[in-house]
Amino acid sequence: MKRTNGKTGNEKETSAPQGVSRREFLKQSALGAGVAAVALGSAKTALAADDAKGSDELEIRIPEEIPRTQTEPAKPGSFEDNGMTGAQVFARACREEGLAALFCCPGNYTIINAIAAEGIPSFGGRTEDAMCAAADGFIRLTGEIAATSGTEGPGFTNMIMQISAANACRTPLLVLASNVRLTNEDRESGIQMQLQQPITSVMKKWGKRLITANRVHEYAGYAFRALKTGVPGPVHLDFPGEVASARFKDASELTMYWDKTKYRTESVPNPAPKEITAAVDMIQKAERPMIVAGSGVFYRKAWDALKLAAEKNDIAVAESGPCRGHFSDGHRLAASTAPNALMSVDLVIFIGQYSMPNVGEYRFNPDVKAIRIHPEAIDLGRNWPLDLGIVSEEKVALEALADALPQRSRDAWTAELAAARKSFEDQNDEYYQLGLKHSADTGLIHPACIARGLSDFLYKGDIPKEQSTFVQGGWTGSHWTRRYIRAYRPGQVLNGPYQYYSIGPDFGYTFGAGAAVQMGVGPQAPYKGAPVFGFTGDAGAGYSIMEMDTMSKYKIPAIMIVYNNNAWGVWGSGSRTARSQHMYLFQENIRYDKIAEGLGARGEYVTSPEEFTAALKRSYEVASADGVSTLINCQSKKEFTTRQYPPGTPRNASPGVGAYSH
Amino acid sequence: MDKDPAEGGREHELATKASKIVSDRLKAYADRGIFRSYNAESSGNGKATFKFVWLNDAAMRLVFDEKQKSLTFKDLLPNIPARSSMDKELRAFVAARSSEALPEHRRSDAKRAEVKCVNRGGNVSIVLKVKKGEFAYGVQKAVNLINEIMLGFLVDGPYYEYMIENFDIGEE
Repeated sequence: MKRTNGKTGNEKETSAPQGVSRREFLKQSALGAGVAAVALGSAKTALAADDAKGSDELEIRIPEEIPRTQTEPAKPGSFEDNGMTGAQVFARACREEGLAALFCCPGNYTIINAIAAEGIPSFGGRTEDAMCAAADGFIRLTGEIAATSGTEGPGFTNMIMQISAANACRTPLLVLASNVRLTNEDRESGIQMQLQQPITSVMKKWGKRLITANRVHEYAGYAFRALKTGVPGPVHLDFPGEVASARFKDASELTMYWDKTKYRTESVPNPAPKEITAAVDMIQKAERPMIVAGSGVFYRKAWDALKLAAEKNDIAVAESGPCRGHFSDGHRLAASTAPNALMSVDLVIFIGQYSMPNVGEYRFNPDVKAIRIHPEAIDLGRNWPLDLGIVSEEKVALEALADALPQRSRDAWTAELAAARKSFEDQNDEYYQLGLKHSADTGLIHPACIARGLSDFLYKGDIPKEQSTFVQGGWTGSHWTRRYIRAYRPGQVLNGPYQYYSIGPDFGYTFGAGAAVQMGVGPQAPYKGAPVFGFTGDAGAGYSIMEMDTMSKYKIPAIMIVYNNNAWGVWGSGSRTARSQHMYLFQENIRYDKIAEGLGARGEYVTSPEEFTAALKRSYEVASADGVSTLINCQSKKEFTTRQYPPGTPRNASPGVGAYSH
Repeated sequence: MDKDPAEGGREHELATKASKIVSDRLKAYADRGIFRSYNAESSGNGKATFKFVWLNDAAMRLVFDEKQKSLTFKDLLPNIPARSSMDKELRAFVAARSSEALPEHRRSDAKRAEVKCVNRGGNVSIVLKVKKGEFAYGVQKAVNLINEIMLGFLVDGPYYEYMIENFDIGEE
C-alpha cells in the first residue's frame, strides 16, 4: 500500500514544497544557508552518494506479508501426521478457552507461532513492555482474556513494569515467555538464562515454570482456572525448550488431558440469604447510600444487575478501578462526577473493588457505614473497617440485592446528586475559561482546553457519545482529562495509569484498545471498526511511541494526543532543591508528530484550542476513512501546573472520575 | 452570696458526663478503625487530651476543655502565616460550614456549635464550642469538619504543594 506522510495543515510546518523530494529540499537549503565549508563538503559528499543511488526518498509502506499472513487460513495442531508439539497442545487449550488475542514481540517462537497458527488473533509490536500493556488494555476494555509474550531473559524482564501494572489492576493477563532448555540450566550456556518465576512472585496471581513436557495441557488448565475464577490477576507461564518442542503422538501421552468442562467450573460463590437481608436492612436505614462499583462489576458483566439494584432503591453509583463505563455517567444516579456529594454518603457498598482504599483515600465522612461484597473472605476488612462483609461473586450479589430491595425513591438524595454534578460541570466550565485565557496569553495550549476540546468532540458533536473508546494516560494531562472525559457504556474508558501508575505504556494500551474495537470484542461489538483515542504526556511518549508503527502496520486507527509540556509531570519537585531541576526537564518544543510521521502515521502539531479542534476533526476523518493513525502533539508549558496559572493542577476526588489509585 | 454546693455538684456531674460523652464518641471512631494509635489522657484540671493518627497519617491532638465546653484540634495546620490568603480562605471555608446553603446533614448548626480558626505563630487550630450541652453533636461536627478541611479544602484548593511540604505526601 502506498502511503505518504500526513499533511498537518499547520502553517508553522516546514515541509518540502509540493513536487520536491525532502532530500532535494534539504540539499538546496544547506547550500543556500552558507554552511561552513567542511560541513558543506561532508553534506555534499553524503548527498552525492545518495544521488548516485538514483532514487528519491523511499516511502514508508506496509509489506504485503503483513496483511497476507495475518489473514491466511489457520493451521491448528493435530495428533494426525507427526503428532502435536507441546506448544501446539498449549495453543489448542488457549483456543478452546477462548483466548481472544496475543500481543508479543518475537521470542518464545514455538509458542507464539503455535498460538497464531491456531487462529487466535496475534499481533507483534516493537517492545515487550508496550505489547504487555496492549494485552492489558485489551482485557480491561473487553473483559476477555488475552496473552502477552516475550523471549527468555531480556524480553521477559522488559515486561516487568507492565506485569506489575496488570497485577495492581487485577487484570487476568496471561504472561508467556520462553526459557533456556532445562539441560542448560545453571550453566550460562548460550544466552539469556533467567529464573522468571521468583521475579514475578510478587506481581501475579499464579505462575509455573513448566518442566515436565507431558503436563503442558494440565498446566494450561491450572492457568485458565486462575484466570477465570475468583479475583482476577496475571498468570505467568514460562516454557523451557524441551516443553515447547516436545512431540506427542496422541492424547494418551499427556497427563490430565480433559476439556475445560472437566478441569474448571463455572460455579461462583453466592451470598448467604441472611447477609442479603442484613444488607437490605442497612440500605433501608440509610438516607444517602452509594455503591462504589469497581472493575469486578465489569469483569463479571454485572452492569445490568448493578443498574437494576441502584434504580430499585435510588442508590447512587460511583465507579472505581482501571476501567469505566459499567455505570453510565449519564444516569440520574451517577455519582462519578459528583464529588461534592461524597461526604454526604451515610452508607457505602463496595462491590468489585479489588484495590481497597485506606480510610481517607476516598472522600467519605468518618461516620459512613460500610458494606463490602467480595469473592474471597480473606480480603474482607482489609484497609477499610466494615460493618458488613459478604462473600460473593459480584453479579449474583447484585441480582440478589435487586431482587430483595424494596422499590424506593430518595428525592432529596437524587436532588443532591444532581446539584453536585452540576457544581462539578460549572467548575469545569470555569477552569476551561481560565484555560482559554492562559492559552491566549501564552500562545500555547492549556490542558483544560485539550480536555474540553476532546469532550466536546467526542460527546457533543456528530459522533454518538457511546462510540469512542478512550485511553487516558499520562499524569499531568490526565488530571484534566479525567474531569472532562465520560463513559456512557461498559468498556468505554481505560484509566491507563492506575494504582501502580506506570508512566509510558499508553501507546501500548491504545493499540490494545484499538485491536479490541477493530475486532468488536465483548462490549466493543456495537462500535466495531471505530477509531479509538489515546492520551499521554511527553514523558510517556518516550516509552512507547514506537508503537505508532504497530498501529500503522496493522491499520488499527488511533488518534493519540500527546500533552507536551517539556517536562516530567513532577518537575516541581526538582524546582525546590539545588542542582536538581535539569533532571526533570526535556528540550522544549520536541516534535513527537514528526516521529509519528516517520513511523508511517500522521502527525499534527497544535498550539491553540482552535488548532486542536481542527486537528481532531481531520484525524478522525482520516482514521475512519483510511484506517490511518495520527499523533496530535499539543504544545503546552510546564508552568501551567503552577499557581501562576490558576487553578494549577486540579487534584480530583475519589471515588469517581478523578480516581487513579483505587 | 455563696454558691450553692448542690449547684457545684450538679455542674461537676454534668462536666463529668460531658467528658464521658466526648471520650466515648472519640473512642468509637478508634474502635471502628477511623483513628489509629488512639490515646486519651486527662490532665485533671478539667481538660482531656486525645491523640490519634488519622488523615494523611497525621498525628492529631484534640483537647476537650470542660469549662470552656470547647473541642480544639490543636495546631492542626502548621505554617500558615496569619492574614495570608490561605489563612483567609480557610476561615471562610470554616465559616461556610454553618451556611444554610449546605444540606442539613453537612451543616454545622450555629445554634448548637460555634466554629472558628485560631492562628498562633502560623499554626492553625480549629476550635468548636458546644452550645446547649450537645457534646455528642459537637464531637461529630468537629471530626467531620476536620475531614472536610483535610479532604476537601486542602485537596480542592491550590494547596497541594502545602500538603507535600507539611504532611509528607508524595508528588503523585
